[in-house]
Amino acid sequence: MRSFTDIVFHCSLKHKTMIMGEAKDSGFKSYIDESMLENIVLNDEQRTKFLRGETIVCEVENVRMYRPLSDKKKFTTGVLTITTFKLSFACAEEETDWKGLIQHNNLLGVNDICLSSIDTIYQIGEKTRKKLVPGQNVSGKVKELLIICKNMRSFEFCFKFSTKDSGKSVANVLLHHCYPKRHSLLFAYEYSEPPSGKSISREARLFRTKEDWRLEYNRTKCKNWRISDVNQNFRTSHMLVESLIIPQSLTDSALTQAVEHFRNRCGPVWVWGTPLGAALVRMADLLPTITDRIQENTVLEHIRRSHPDKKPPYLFDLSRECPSPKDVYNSYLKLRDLCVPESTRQFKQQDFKFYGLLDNSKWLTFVSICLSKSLEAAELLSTHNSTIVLQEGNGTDMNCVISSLVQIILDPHFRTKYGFQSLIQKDWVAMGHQFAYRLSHILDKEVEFCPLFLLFLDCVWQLLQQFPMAFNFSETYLTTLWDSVGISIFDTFLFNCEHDRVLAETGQDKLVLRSVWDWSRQFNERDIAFFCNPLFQDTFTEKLKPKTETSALGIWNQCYFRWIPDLEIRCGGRPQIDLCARLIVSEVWELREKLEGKENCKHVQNREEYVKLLNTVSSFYPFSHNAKEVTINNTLLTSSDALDTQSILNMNND
Amino acid sequence: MDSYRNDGKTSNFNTKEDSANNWRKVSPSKSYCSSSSTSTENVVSTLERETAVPSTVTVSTRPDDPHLLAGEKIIGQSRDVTYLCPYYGPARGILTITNYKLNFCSIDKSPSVDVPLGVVSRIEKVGGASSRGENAYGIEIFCKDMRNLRFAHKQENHSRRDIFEKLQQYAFPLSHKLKLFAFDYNEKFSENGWNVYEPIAELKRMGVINDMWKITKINEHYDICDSYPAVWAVPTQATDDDLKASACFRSRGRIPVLSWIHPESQATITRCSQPLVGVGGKRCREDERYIQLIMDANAQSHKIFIMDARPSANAIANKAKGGGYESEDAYQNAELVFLDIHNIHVMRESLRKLKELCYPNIDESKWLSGIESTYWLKHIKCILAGAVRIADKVENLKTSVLVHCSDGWDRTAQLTALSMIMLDPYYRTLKGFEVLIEKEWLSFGHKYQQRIGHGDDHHSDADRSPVFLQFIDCVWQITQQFPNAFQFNDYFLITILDHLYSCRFGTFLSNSERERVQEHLKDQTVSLWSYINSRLDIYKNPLYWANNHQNVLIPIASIRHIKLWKAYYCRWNPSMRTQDPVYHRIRELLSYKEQLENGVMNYQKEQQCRVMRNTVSPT
Repeated sequence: MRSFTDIVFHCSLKHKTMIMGEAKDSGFKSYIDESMLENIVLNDEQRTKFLRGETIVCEVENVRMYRPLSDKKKFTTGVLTITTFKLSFACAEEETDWKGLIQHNNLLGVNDICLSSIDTIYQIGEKTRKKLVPGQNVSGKVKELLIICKNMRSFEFCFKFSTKDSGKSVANVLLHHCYPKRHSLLFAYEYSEPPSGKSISREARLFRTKEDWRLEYNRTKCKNWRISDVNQNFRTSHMLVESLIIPQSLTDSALTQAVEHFRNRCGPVWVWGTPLGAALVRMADLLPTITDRIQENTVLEHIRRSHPDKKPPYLFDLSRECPSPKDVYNSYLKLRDLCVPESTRQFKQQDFKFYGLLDNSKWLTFVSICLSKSLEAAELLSTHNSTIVLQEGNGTDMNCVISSLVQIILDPHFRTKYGFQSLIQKDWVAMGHQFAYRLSHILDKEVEFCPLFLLFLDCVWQLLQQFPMAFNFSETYLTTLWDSVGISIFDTFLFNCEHDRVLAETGQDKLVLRSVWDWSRQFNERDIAFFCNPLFQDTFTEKLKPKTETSALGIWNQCYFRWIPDLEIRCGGRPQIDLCARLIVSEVWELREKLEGKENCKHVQNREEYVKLLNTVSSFYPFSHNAKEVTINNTLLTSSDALDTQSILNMNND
Repeated sequence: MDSYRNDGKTSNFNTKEDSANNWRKVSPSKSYCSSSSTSTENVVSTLERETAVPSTVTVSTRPDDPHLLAGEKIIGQSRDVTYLCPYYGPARGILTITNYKLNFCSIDKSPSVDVPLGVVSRIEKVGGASSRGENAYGIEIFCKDMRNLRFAHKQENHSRRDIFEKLQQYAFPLSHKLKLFAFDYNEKFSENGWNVYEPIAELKRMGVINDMWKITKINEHYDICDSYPAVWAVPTQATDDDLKASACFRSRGRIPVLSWIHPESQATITRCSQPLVGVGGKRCREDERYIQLIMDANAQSHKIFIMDARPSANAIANKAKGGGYESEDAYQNAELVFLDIHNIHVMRESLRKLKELCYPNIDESKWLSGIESTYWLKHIKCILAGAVRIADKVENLKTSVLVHCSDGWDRTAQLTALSMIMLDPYYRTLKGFEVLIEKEWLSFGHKYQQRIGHGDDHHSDADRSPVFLQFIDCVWQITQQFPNAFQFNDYFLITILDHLYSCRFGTFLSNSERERVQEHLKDQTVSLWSYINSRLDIYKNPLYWANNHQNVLIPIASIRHIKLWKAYYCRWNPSMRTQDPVYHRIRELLSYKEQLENGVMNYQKEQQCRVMRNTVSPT
């Protein structure tokens, strides 16, 4: 049963809805007599649920939600609700149909999306598609809205059958609430559910305290560095955490002097090292106004002295060697086009030259660059025992990507779920990746949206494909993580830096921090169980040697294509491998326990569950949102030539 | 436990408060990577794995001679040759030519090369006696299996002449009045692959003999159609005269006969060649009636689909040559669909471009756009999409489908065989797949001899085309989408492709069943299935889910799901050679499981012994 401890039922409103429909004609006719449509009342299960502190901003009945890629021919009618937290579409579909096929989120319903996950809103006209600009109001009539989310999901709503002007008000409400200008307008500040009180220390090391850094430094057995309090009260840099690991020979005053010359005042910081003494260090570029490199050379000399053999470090100039955030953003837009086709016609056109378009997006090229840079740095660190200094602009974008990938390649600790989460805390959160701007939780004119974190997750996914035995988390975990970055309840990806977090926590807002790593907040145990990888072999501690060329990379189908129902392979795809592996592993466990003289019936139960799933799940499991609707869509099956030769294909006959 | 886990917190993924729930406990913590690996790792060529040669056959036994097969003999040798390897650079060594293969054995530790001469498409001399530069003088060999080989000879005494002539002779035996190696090869296997396919037994397996369908031997002597098998299944109602009349109206007499019948709905897949409509729009009442009989044999539907594999433009163009397609006026209740699959010439050109892209090295910066420009995956997509449509009509609409292209031996074979794989789980087993190839490809006259050009030197012959390779590629694509639905792995598919060209087995020789009977291939040569079926284990898919729930597979024919089969097309490039890490890991787990099972068995035996001893001792 679903547990809704934190949900207040909203019952004053009378929900009416119509059952799912299908327009018989290709042309859309508005004279449909509403009395012909069956009105049914939503039951409690189907109604939109609300969190503590969540308030309704707008509610519209008789809204049609089109099924993706159905050319507006298939739709569901229901109630669209916009709250301070989410957009929610409630309809009369049986919840039970979904059970077991999709991940169940305690915070969001099947057709809900957090406002922070919304990327772009389009107003759809007869033949036009107009992007709505945040900050501006829509004045004309709005018949249809297309909402594209950061996780490549799209919603298309039609307001023709709703009350007058409801489309316009939905558009304006969304424009107002999806793109807040101030941080304190985010839902996290209103969410009034008491904190769970559960310690997060079992899930990840947060790297907010000196102790965390000390433990990590000791764990690596790296020598000749020291933990400094130079950034106490963020005196030195706002972007970094209060405890910094710096070269032993570098005094606090020398560092204070040196950081003046670096952008964001981000001087060198140790993030990882080896027992042999090679370290991974990151820092920002010198300020553009600084012409001499004296201070940079001084800190580099201190870094050299920290190496037991006094080896000079290798400097990786990531601003020059890696794509810029702007490049990554443009690439993401092109990739997104391939994942959110407007119509079957566009889908087919894209299919017609898919590899060319994919090439043109440069997404895999960028993945390849990130992986090969990381591999190069990892080789130098391990084989040559050389210290690596990563340097880049503000030190908070590509530095995060490369630095964390290097550590995953070299250190098996970071390939466990605990280690991976700690790594994100250390190299992304504590090191000041500007999540609030980069994920555009808040609108800022200077720092643009850029899904560098998705690029990183994609790189990790590629590693997982090449080394499935090396990771104890699954692709479902990575996909879920990307979904979770847009949920404005968790503080993990909400802030630009630790300083902002501390201000929010201690300032007048008294924000309650809720870590995203508390997965039980969102999911039940069964869903969390699918985060772990049955192919994991914990004795595999080697360094990874991934192939980094584009030809060795693949497309992360689950994350990118799961919202296109027509691409779901019924009873096929990776989940079949995953479940088969779980079956085998379960048998292995049982045999081992038998050898130890134990008998346990739970394995048999698990296996029955796996077998049941094997017979039902499709390729996007556990994100099979349209699984039950999947029928053979002939529009996909017409040959490519249908586009340039007029062949006699009669598609409407079946 | 590894050294990094000294903080005691990392294990939380496997241990949780609720110990009764064991969902998360899926990763056994003990190592079991010690299991011996199977030979499916690092597939380069399936041809390099050979069994020892019976000593009686060996002619010469110098230490550097290559292994010889039964019936294989050394024809020529050149001892001072440089192999210009595109990956490891030049290597000096000995080049040996046998009646089966070319073998290069380097004198240092470089990898050796072993190529059956059957894969050779063209041999050319490079450079002349006056050519300058190192390694400028020699032989270049162009192969059918996505690679070329270059050998450099010493620029004196016409050192390459002898080898060049021997290569020409034995690579193209048919052009030199010699026999193909398959007729000399006489290795014995425990299984006889020629018995794999028994037409009547297979028809019975499908449940053909019922009220509606019968088996006819009207073509026993291949009189009605010389490219069709001897045994057909046709509607019970059809008389011999019907069949004969229809044969006159179908290109090369290839009338509609049964490929597959749905066990429940009785909807069928039948195949044929194009009707001889011509510009005048000729009609044939008997043919129309015959197709009506096929439709009537399925009580579930009052309709039949005619799937014409060609683009409509090509079908129309064929009218000028006397062919054409069925008009819906003449064929009542028939709906004609064009599947837009291009002809053999387009496919050949596409593969040529693909070879350019994949061999010897790939240009990473142009990889994705390069794939695009070959059109290879688009053709694959088209064929798969066509097969999906056929499977859909049969399964979901319970309607019979008649498939043809022009002659009905290329695209038609691809479509019927693929849709049969989708509809019938039997064809996804090792044995079933062999039967499928024997039935839909070999017995229905796919012209292997012409399409591959076994043993002849007409490398630019317009009849050559990678039609069968495309089919195997499509099968591979389906295995990728349904990883546990097939009993075989891709090593099996690659083995079939390697021996498609090798001419070691009789299986893919000749153009039709009739020719195979005339040449007594069953007595004179060994079947590929004899070889494969005597070592089935290495061709098995560890994920195969035998009690498969799923009878019908509907792959998604979108290019977004269609990938280039690198393990085949790029396999000569050592940097592209990878084994599938998932399968590798699954195999490890399975072998660990086996160890444990043995452990448990021994443990139980011990226990029993102990019990026995305890019960015995008191007396």
